[in-house]
Amino acid sequence: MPHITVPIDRFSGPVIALVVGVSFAKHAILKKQGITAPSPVIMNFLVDSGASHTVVDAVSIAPLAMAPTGVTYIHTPSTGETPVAVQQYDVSLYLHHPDNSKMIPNLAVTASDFSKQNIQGLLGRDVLEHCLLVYDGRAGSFALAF
Amino acid sequence: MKSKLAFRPGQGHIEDMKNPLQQELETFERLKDQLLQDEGKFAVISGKELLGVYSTYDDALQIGYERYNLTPFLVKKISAVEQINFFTRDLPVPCLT
Repeated sequence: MPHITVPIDRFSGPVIALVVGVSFAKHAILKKQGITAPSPVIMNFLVDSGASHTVVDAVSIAPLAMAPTGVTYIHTPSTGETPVAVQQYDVSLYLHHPDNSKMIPNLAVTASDFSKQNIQGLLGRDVLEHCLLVYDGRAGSFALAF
Repeated sequence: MKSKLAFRPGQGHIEDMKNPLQQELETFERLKDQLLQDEGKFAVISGKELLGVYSTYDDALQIGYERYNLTPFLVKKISAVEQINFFTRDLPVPCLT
């Protein structure tokens, strides 16, 4: 199983760089129409087992010119008793590995504001459920196998 | 579902915002009893039109783009009980009115 080992950031925690682009489904239709797809963006994601799905920074994905293709409901510590509806966007997610990179061609994510948090997204359990995550606090690193 | 705040993607602030897929959500709710025969699959809806039901998110998204190109459409998992996503940290989320 290919894996990558990354130092745990002293302030942000287990952060990993991923490439976010338009979904493969959207890319295909853009290509068919002769439209150049927006360039993917590299974003730092906090590996967050407390997030049930992946979230991206709205400002960081602005260059991808995303339009919502879904709606879901979320609970956070401040949403109270009633979950709130949020938009979902379809993206592709790419994790580079020298021998065996991981690509998720179509992933539904939500957007939020991480501008004050030194990260551009949360890598949630919708992705982690396909991975093996080892958090080695003593060594100051974590490993993600996929 | 009613909410108070909304985040405008790409502009970094919170304000009221309407749901651009509201009509599609209403169509989904209107057809829900029928759709529940395919619980676990994904419905593709644009406006008041149900395009179809597909086994995977990938298939639904691909066929949605092929049919509607870049006009708005909704892909939604069919479930008798709405799936709620949980976060242990707070998020300034794009809530919809």
